[in-house]
Amino acid sequence: MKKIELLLLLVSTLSLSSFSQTKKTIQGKVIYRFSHIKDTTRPDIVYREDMMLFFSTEESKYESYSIHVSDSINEANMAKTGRIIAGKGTREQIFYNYLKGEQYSIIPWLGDTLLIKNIIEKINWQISDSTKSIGGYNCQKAEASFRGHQYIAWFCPDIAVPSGPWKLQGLPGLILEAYDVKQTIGFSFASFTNIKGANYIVMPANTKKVSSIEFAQMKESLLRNPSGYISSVINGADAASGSGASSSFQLKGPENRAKTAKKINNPLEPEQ
Amino acid sequence: MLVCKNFPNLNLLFMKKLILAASFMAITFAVSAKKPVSDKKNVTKPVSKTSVVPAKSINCGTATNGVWSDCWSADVTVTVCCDCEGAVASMLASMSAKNTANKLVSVIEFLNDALPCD
Repeated sequence: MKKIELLLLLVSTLSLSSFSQTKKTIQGKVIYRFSHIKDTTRPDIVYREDMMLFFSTEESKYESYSIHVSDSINEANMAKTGRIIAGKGTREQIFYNYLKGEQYSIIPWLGDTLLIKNIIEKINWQISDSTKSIGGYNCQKAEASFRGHQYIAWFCPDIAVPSGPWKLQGLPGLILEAYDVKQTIGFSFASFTNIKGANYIVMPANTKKVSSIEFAQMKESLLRNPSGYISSVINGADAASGSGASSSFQLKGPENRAKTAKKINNPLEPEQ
Repeated sequence: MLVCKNFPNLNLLFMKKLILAASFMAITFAVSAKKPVSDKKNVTKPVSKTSVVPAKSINCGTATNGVWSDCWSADVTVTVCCDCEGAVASMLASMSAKNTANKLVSVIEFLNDALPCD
C-alpha cells in the first residue's frame, strides 16, 4: 500500500514539473542606444542616451540606463559632498502590460510619483520578408507610421514578446532595432541579457494619478514661474508633514537663458 | 407531628431551622458588603525619593544640500527645531535637506532641458 502511495506521489510531482516547464516564461533585458536630432536645422547636435527594456511574457518596463547609472554615482556624491549632480536623461519609465493591454508612464515630480495612463495606439505594421541578424538573433523587417514619424523596425520572432523600445510595440516578436526613415530618431541594439529568477518589472506602489493634460499644465506652471512653483510645492509638503522642519531654497537659472521654453522642430511625439 | 402540605416528607421544624440559617447568612453577607474594601493602614505605601526630570530645551539644527545641472541649480536649506539634543536636530535637518534636494532633481533636469543656457 505504501509503495502505491509513493508511486502516486512521484507521478504527481513529475507531472507538475513538466507542466511548469511547458509554461516557460521568457525574461530578459535589452539595452538600446537612443539617438535623436531634436532640431533638424542643427543635424550636428545629436542627443544620445542609453535606454533599457526589461521584458517578460506578460509585461515590460522601459527606462533610462544612463539615469540608472548617474543615480548610483549621485548616491556616493551626496554622502561625500552633499551635492547632487542632476543627470542628463529621461526620468519617465514606461510600463506596458500586453496581456491587460495597459500602458503607464511613471514620472517623478517634486516628491510625487506621477502615474499617467497612456493611450495604446494600434500601429499598422507592414511586415516584409527582409531579415537580418541582430545580436545573434534572426530579425524581420516591419514598417509603420507612428506619432508623426515613419519607422522601420527589426523584430525577433524567436522572442515572442510584442514589446520594444519606447512606445513602439505590437509586432509578433521583440523589437531589437528601430529608426525613423529620415534617420533623426534611432533605437539601435547594444546588448541582450537573459534574466532568470528576479523580477525587475514592478510598478511603484504610491503613485499619484494624473492625466497627460494635467501633467502638461504642471510643466507649464513650472516654466512660467520656476521659483514660485517649486516653493509652493515644497512649503506645502513641509506643512503637511508637520515635522517642524522649515525649508528655504535658492534657485539659480542661467542669466542668458531663453525666455520661453525651447521649441524643438522634431519632437519624439507631438505635444498632447 | 407537623408536616408541610406540599412537601409532606419535610419536617416543619427542619424547615424553620433552614429559613433561620438562610436569613443569618444573608444578614452576614449584607453587613460585610457595607464594610470598606481596603484598610487605610494597607493603603499607605512608602514613597521613594524621585529626582525631578529637567525640562528639555528646544534645539535647532540647519543643513544645506544642493542640486546642480549645466544651467540650473538649487540650494536647499532646512532648519529643524525639536525638543531634543542639538546633534539630533542637526541630523534631522541633514536628512530633511537631503530628501528635499532629491525631490528637486527631476525638475532641475526638466528646467535644464526646457530652458537651457543660450
